[in-house]
Amino acid sequence: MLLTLAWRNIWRNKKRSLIIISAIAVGLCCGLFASATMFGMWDSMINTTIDRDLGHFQIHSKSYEEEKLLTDTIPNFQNIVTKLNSTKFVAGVSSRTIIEGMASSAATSNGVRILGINSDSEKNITSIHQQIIKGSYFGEGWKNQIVIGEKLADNLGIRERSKIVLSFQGVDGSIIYGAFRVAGIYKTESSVFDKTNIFVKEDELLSLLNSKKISNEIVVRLSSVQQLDSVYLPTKLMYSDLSVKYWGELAPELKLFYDMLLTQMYIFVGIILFALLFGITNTMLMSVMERVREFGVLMAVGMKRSRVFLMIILETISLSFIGGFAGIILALIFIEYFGYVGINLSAFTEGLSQWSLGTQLYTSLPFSFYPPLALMILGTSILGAFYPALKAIRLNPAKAIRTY
Amino acid sequence: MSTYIKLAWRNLWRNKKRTLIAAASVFFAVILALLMRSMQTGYYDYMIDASVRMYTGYIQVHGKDYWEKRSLEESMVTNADQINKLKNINGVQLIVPRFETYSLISHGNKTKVVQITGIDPQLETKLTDLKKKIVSGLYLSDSSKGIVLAQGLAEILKVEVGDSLVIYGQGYHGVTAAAQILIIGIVKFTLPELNKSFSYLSLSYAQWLFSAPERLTSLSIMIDNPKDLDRIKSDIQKVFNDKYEVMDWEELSPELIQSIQIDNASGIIMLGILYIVIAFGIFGTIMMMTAERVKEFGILISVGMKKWKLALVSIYETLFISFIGVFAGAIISIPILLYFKANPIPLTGEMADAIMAWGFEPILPFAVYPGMFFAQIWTVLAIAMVSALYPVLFIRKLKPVEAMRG
Repeated sequence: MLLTLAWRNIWRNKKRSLIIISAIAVGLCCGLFASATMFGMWDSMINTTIDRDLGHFQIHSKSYEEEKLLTDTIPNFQNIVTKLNSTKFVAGVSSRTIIEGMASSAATSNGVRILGINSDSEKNITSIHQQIIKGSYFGEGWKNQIVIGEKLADNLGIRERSKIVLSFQGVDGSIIYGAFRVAGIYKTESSVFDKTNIFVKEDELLSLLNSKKISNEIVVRLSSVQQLDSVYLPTKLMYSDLSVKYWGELAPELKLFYDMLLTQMYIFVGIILFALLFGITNTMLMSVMERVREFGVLMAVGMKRSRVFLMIILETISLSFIGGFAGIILALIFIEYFGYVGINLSAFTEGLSQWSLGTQLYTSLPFSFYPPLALMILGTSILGAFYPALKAIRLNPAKAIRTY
Repeated sequence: MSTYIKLAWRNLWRNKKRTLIAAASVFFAVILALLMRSMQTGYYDYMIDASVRMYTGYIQVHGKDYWEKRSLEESMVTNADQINKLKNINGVQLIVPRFETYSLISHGNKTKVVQITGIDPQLETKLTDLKKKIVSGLYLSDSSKGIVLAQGLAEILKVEVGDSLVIYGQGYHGVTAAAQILIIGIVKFTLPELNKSFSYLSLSYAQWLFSAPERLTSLSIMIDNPKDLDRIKSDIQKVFNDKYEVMDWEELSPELIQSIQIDNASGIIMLGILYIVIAFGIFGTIMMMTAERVKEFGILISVGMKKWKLALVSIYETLFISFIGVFAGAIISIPILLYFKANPIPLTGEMADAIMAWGFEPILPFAVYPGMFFAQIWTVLAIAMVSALYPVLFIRKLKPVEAMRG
């Protein structure tokens, strides 16, 4: 009954109600869309980092963590790879041999991270093979192929099929040289990554090293990030003498900013609601002052003050929720649309590249964001209604009836 | 004229609470906006200053293609006359010559790729405070034949001051550069990437080792005031007659300037959203003030008040409501911002660790520029003018006879 009354009261002054409803709707819609943009940005940053390099989790020997030396290998790595390969939810496992060394062209040289990989298993892990801009990802035909980043190719002044000499330290400490020919050039979202990471075939690198099969790093990719706990945690327990880390530990700053992002979005939406609070209070205050006589009559004929209070609160809640729902639905439409089409940010390529971001931004917002949002809107409307409602029940019915 | 202002002012206070609530919304919005802008610009200023002091300087001079190729083949030769001319440019604080290249460094059976920088020890420390970052051993001297290693690098190679290293690299014109060098000092950087890859030689020794006597790869230039950047840059270009490339920090760190632009744009969008919400509040208040006075307007017009004068009064009312908020907000903000500018907020916890890992101090710096205040004033003025359209149009269409009966 009270709700019906409240609902009808809202529409007695349509223009005023519509203004505050549209204020809430527009404010929320903008706020949610901005949050979705930020969220989409970090989401894509994490995804590109996982796709490009990290995988979902990695295994190293404990000493490799600190020193990153070729000789810090994982013992019995083949057993681990086989075991992980037959584990449920695992989409791909790749073992890498990693050496820091120098890449020299005829003109100049650069420090690089040489990754000896098995190109077939690596394809299940990273997206580099899809990001080749020239040449191919290890084709047939000649020996000692190498895949390098565009930025490094520019720095070294080399092209596809150019010769490149790698120098690095072997297992016994001697310096080893190897001539390679560029098979393909890749370009990822991160210029830093492109400058330092080069890929060669594991067996060719091992024969240069004159070494048996070794592994510095095992990268695991799951069918979905949701399965992380069910695979990562048992693996971590099983190999307690190795360092098993998931992407959040491998890129802690990424994880930290991601966690902070959600807090930031709540604060941002909170600020918008705070600004709306004034509008809501003002609207309800006007509405109460117009109806002084009406409240006087209601109280005089026996309506309890608590019910008058509740009625005004309900009016405000309905008002805010109409606006809130309109805002959320509008925002969802925009978020879904731009989540599908994407926003073009190519004007900021270099800055985005530094942050490992692509130039196409897809908006997204986790659904877990909405229930707390509804609570925040509810809280705001109650807070906004409080003063006008208090004013109404403080009226003296006898005087109020005579107010025109 | 003053009569209308007086009229508008009195109209405002016919419903005190409503006016105050509307003004308060502007007040809080302005304070929030100013705090946010101050924090953002303060952060940008700090980032720029910290990053130019970390390595690059505000301006660098390179050989033509050096920046692209990073090859010793693109290094340059400067003469004393040019350096003197540079020093005489008004606003130039410091000129730091460098010789930078990559090389392999080994100790025992451990080898790392490092950046080797040949420096003028005295000038370098004025720019980057390198001497203060020494954690053990000595700093370089002009004729020193030793090497100073970054601490992370020393840990990986398991070396200490007094140990010897073998440098193995490629010198000018492809000549092999190899030498056994004594470690004389260890220097600690907060940024892990620098800490694991940097090493320093004295300039003359580096030039000798890499067979490039008298050659430099860059001159880093520090200036007194970032505002003079463009003038100083063009003066430097004149000194070298376009023979060498002159780049400012925006070109040297495009990723820094673009990250700033992205962050700045997102900040402005957020404030825009906040102000849209505030605009609705003001508009709603003005609308209510108009709607409840239909009868009054009708009477005023029928007793001979000109419509445009009435419209003028309503414009004044709108301006007053908004500007009470803006001015109160701005005035309250000034001491708050100045306080935080002098005492930046220290950060703690995980966030602080992350910022320190990037090599910056864990503080939230603030900056105060007059432009920030004007930006808020213009924004609110725009909102007020748009909101004032409603009563103006309303009065224009008003029919006094009908209005009086309403």
